[in-house]
Amino acid sequence: MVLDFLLPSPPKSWSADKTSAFHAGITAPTKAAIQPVGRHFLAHARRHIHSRTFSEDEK
Amino acid sequence: MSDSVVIGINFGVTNSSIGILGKNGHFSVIANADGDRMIPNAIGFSDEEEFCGSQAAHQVVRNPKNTLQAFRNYLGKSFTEISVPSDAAHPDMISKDGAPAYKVEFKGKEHIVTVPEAASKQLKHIHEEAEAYLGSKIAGAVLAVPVYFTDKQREELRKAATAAGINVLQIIQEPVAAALAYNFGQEVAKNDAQDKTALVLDMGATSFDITILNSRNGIYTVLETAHDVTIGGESFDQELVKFVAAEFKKKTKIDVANNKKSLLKIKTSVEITKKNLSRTPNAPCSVESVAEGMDYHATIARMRMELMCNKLYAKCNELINHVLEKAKITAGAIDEILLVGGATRMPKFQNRLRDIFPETLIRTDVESDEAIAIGCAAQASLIAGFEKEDIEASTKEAVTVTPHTVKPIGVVGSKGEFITIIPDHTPLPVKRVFEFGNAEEGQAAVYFALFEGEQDPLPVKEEKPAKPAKENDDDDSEEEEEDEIVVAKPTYHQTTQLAEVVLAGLPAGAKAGSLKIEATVQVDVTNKVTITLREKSSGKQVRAQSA
Ligand SMILES: Nc1ncnc2c1ncn2[C@@H]1O[C@H](COP(=O)(O)OP(=O)(O)OP(=O)(O)O)[C@@H](O)[C@H]1O
Ligand SMILES: [Mg+2]
Repeated sequence: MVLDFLLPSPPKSWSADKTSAFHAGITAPTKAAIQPVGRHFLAHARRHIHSRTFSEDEK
Repeated sequence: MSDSVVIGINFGVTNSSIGILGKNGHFSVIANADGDRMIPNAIGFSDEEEFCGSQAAHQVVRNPKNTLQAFRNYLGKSFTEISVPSDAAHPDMISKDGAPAYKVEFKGKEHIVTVPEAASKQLKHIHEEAEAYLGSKIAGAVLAVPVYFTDKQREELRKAATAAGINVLQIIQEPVAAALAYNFGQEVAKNDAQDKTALVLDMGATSFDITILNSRNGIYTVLETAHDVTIGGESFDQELVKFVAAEFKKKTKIDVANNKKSLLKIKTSVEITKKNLSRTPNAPCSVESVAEGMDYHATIARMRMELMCNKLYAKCNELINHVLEKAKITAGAIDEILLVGGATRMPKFQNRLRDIFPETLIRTDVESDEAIAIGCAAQASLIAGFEKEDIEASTKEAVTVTPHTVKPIGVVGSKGEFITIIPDHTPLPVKRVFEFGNAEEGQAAVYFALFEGEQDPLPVKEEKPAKPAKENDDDDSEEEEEDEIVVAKPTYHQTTQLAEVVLAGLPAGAKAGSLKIEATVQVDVTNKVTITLREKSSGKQVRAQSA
């Protein structure tokens, strides 16, 4: 996905010695069932069963 | 199992169909020995023999007491749970050990057939038809069931299929199978997230089933469902039956309103007329010897049928509106409508969808009554190479039940607009990669802020000025609905700020647009957020992770 807008420069108040700040966690997710069909699900199942991360999966 | 043949089976209430992967690499539905692609789910008994499918369906008018139909409705249910029609047009049913069973006459003797036995006979018949067509043994099959099927119903179907000699690879849900057949949301290009929502409308012979299905990176989640057994192809047939019976009475003075056999004859004929009316504006209707040796022959206009079924079409739209409300989503959030089931071929049904969805893509590129079998065949091919234990392990709750995001996560664009990166209802873990087109002249550092969003309130609908009451309020024909209905896609605004990340030390002296920043956002099952920013030409990057 390509987004056609500029990432701005950091605001003036941003202190040069840090690279990130986390402010809030995401809203608590809800549990739901995904459908066990299709090749994208199979990739998910493989990741889950072998406890692999996305980057390991891409190798 | 490399060169083994696998198939998809749609075992509906009224019809079954068989999906296969053809030599041309495309999935299709095959015809049985009688040339029918929709094999009627019917079992007939006579003095000499027992037969299934098309042949059995043909004898229903002649021998209704010994013709079993719609037995899928009774699978996995106890006798007290079901309501059985007991009249001249249906076989007798009894309780056998608490489960429903049919009492028929076979070779001159009373014969009991339980519901699972009936299902098994029909499935065996389907399996044999498929082997005959393919000229080879079948290694396995994927079957589909409605979303509202209980575990008990699924289990009884699995047993019936196994007893029929079928190696059941997997049982999947009907609307999900249909979505696979339509290849809905499956073509996810690398690094190009695909988030789509479909409304799956399945109207078969005996029910109207609606499913709102999300696809997030090709993974499906059912958002909401609704199911109404009072609308289906047969309810449209019934309107036509009433009409023909009334016309017949006008012509012959014979009242067949209580004559089950005559009504059954009329029904068989009007169904053919109804199907033809989906293609042509007028279609013949002929019923031989309706009663007292008198025939009925006439031409019925599509407009006529649409008028008599107006309330049914309206009911379809009511159910759709109901399910949208239940899911708390707007018509504009539906990207595609997938038509499933033979009865969705009716032109008026499709036209009326425009009242709710003026712009939405209505998919008709797969034959609606073949979609489920084709989707099952596609899934069967996909898993044919796996060990059975692995398929079973992948369908366990530990794998399929997963956290889903509640709110969309995104960035804020240069005009203050909220740009969704990970939408709501996305299963976790998720990883999304996207790229910012460019950076400004001489920009030394870029700043990336991640937010949660919330849907903007919908524009308030303008009240339409009241129309003068019409004389015939039964007919709300299209002509009067000239007002443009605009259904906007939902938009969002930022609420909570989640994180800020800065990538400094960009290559000096770069021209505007020469640098491309790739951002990766991941959320894992424990809600941990990881953000990576990378300048593509220098490979310089920063990685940040929430606590
Ligand atoms: N061209 C058509 N125009 C209108 N109706 C049609 C057409 N083709 C099939 N039908 C109707 O579709 C219905 C059968 O659809 P389908 O084969 O999807 O049912 P099914 O899945 O077996 O039934 P159910 O959904 O009740 O389990 C019948 O009522 C039939 O008359
Ligand atoms: Mg159906």
